[in-house]
Amino acid sequence: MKIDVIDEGQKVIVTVDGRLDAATAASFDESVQALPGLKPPRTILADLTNLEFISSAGLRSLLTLGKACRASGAQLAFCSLNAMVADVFKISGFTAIFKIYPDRNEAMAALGGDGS
Amino acid sequence: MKSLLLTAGLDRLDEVRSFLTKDFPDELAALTPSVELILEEFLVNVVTHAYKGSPGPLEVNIRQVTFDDWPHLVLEVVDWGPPFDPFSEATPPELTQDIDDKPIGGLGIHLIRNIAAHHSYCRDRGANSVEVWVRCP
Repeated sequence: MKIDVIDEGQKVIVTVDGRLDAATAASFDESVQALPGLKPPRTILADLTNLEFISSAGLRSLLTLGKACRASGAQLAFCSLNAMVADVFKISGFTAIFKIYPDRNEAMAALGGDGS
Repeated sequence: MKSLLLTAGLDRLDEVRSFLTKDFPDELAALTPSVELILEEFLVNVVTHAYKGSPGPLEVNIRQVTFDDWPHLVLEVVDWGPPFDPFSEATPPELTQDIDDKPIGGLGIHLIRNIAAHHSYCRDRGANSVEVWVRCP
């Protein structure tokens, strides 16, 4: 699992590559704790194009991040979920609590930005 | 039918996963993420609840059966910890719209219930056995 962070000022884009599961969740938690986006009024967009697989351990990490964002007044959104990740989000009720966009351009437009 | 007996541990996740899915025929490839998810949720459950972090044996079996004229993949996970039925012990998660109210955790069994066509638990000769049936495409 690999995480890259692009800091665009008001927005921070986080790309997650690989698997977010019981073996990798702790390393994800550690990486996102250092994110510069956890201050209002910033937005974190997690681009999951290359996230192949997520389990409940990964959901736990994303929910923890979402709660941390909420507590600090920042916003967390997701884009570009593959079919497996989208299914797991839906079953778990994540689609009801997070903003989710089909791709990065749509997300950036909706959140205020050009997606570049 | 394929069967694997090993010492349960999160560090064995990759090994069990590749054992289960490496010879998957093309027509079952679409089931790979579901099988991997079910396997991980049970492995974590066994490590956390059955053996509470101590080493203990785990058996994983996978077989194909036809039920009601339809092929299913059956994944069975066996441990020798204290009696524990994950399906009856797990409380259904709050599917709330407010992130502040959403409890962290408890989603593993919920995911399995939703993916499975059928699931069962039995306590037999000192072992916990869970079976999950996934409908083939």
